[in-house]
Amino acid sequence: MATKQDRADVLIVGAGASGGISARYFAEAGLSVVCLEQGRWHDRSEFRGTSPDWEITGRKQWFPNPTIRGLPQDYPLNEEESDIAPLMFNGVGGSMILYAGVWPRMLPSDFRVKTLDGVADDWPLTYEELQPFYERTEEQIGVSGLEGDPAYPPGKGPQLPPLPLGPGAMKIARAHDRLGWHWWPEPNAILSRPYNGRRPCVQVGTCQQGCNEGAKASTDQTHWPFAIDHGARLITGARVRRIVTENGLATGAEWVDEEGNEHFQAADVVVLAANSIGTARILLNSATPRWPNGLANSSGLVGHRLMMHPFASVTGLFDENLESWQGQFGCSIESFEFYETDESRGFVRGAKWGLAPTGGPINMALPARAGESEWGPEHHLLFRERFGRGQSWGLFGEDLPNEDNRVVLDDELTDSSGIPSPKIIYKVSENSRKLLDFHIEKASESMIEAGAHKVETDSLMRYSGWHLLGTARMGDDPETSVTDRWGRFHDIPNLYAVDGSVFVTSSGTNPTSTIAALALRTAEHMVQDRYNQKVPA
Amino acid sequence: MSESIDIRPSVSDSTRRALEKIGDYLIPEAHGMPAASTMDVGTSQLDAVLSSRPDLAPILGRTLDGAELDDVAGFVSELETADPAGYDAVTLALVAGYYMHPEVHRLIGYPGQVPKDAQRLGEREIYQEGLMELAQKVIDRGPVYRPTPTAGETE
Repeated sequence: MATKQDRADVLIVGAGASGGISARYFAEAGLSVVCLEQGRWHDRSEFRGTSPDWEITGRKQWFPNPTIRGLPQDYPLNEEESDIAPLMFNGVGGSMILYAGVWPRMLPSDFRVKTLDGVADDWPLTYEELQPFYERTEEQIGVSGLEGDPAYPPGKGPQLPPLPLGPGAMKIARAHDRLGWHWWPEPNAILSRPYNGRRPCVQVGTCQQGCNEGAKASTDQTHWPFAIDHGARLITGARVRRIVTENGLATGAEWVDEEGNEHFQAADVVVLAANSIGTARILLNSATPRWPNGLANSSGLVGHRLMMHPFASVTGLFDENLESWQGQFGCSIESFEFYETDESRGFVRGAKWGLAPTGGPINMALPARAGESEWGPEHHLLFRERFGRGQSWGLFGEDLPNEDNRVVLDDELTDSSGIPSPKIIYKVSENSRKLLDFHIEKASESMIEAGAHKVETDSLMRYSGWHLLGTARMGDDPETSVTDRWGRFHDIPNLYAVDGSVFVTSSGTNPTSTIAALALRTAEHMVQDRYNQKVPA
Repeated sequence: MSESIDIRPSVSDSTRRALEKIGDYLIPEAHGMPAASTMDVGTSQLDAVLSSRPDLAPILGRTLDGAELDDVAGFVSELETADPAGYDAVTLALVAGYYMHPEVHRLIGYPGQVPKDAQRLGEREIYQEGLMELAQKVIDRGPVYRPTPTAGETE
């Protein structure tokens, strides 16, 4: 039988990047906060980066795709109709536990693609409106980098010096200097110096299996301790079945604990922070006779316009040993040289490049990214040629919104609590394909100029769907958007989204910094506007 | 007297022998590197792999237990096409066992993922020689972004 918990001022669903940032703000503002998180806390000692098995556990227990990982706190995805497999992590800190920590902002043109390039839609805000929130969240997170990047308007830059580039990135920086192409030290949410009681990066290179050092930012370290100190209640192992509504307002959420017991958490305001797939799933699972196609879905757009950033990689192999199993993983340098639209290329928009090391011996013997496999006596020669000698450009192409790319509920698949799982329907567009082909060619030029004797490419990596965006887009018109410019659902005035679901377009940049800035902006607006907030009786 | 039960994931001797045989075909002794079977890929290294990845045990058993390996090349080729999951499990178990072996680490010059002393990550490592001069040249080439258009402005 469902139990009722005390009514909270704010109920947040999901304890990842946006959930942690908004929870801290609400709690520090004196609101009572409850957060429901289906995963659990992870101690840094659990991460496998200091163990020889880090590469093989990284392919299963710590793999970022929930279907392969298959933990009880995950929900499986039907990915049969998707060109890209989504990646995420369920736990306190969310996908930040396994992300790379790359922390670039979106660019001014990203907010105005309709005006500038005649495609998709403009955002209902500008870079300049979001800039102060970028700066404030960077202060909380701790970002390493170098001020003055001419890819951005002037403003406050990273707090900490850049992480070491290493010999491989320096080679490529010099190559771009000769080519006259943009490059810059990558901003990373990875500390180069002690910061706010956290230790700096020790360059182990296992960021994507969880950071043992605590140098890579995740909200379990940077936000939740502050929120909890201010009274926020974070309930782990709590899986939301549906949002409950009454008289046009959200009254709370039904949730299931790990033992299968049903609960109801009442709240004045409900905030969805479950990532663009999780948030769409909850809304679709919350359908009622009043909302037969999913809660707050009068626009018909809930779950649609899913964007995931088609990803390609270009790896250069060099003669010398660059020890490219080490370093931040994370990126060392970035390039925005071909980011903006040039219609003579046959496509619109562009891609950001981020340079990363190439991984440990098992990954290099079993190519997971670019490259061939070779067995027999030649295996040893190929391995020797590749191991420690590679640098890899990761190319994130801007993924323009398409209503056919979407999250729906699967007819049969469920999670371990019996709640329907999502089915992902996603095709890489012709624009994206042309865009990636162009950028692969240019990134190959970069590697050759830097002295690579061989270039290997992966033209579309299947397991690359880190950036889950767009399934509850924001906008001013309720007919063409799901939430307003503050992430408030047009149809349910006390229901908000603070995760990547509100993105109007995807940009070509790693989105966590923008998700964080938007979450802080929304939370601040909600607190400032709280006297006008409609709440249940 | 208490009795302990070993619940570690394991596979049959037949599976272990098959893995070694396939290992010596895929990763033979050559170019100064040892053959897979001499790096314990069917014994202690396999135990280490299965300890970290118990999910591989049933797939290896299904794929290799009692396998006819008179024609190793043919078996591997058939496996790759007909049973990709089995092929992936076999190659991962072999490669992981081989490349986690300390002797192989020594031969390939891999010290493991070694933390650098945080206190020694000094200015010289961060601001490598030439970094700031190169960065200044990027700045000197000027902005590369398109500014936010003013209201009504298009390109």
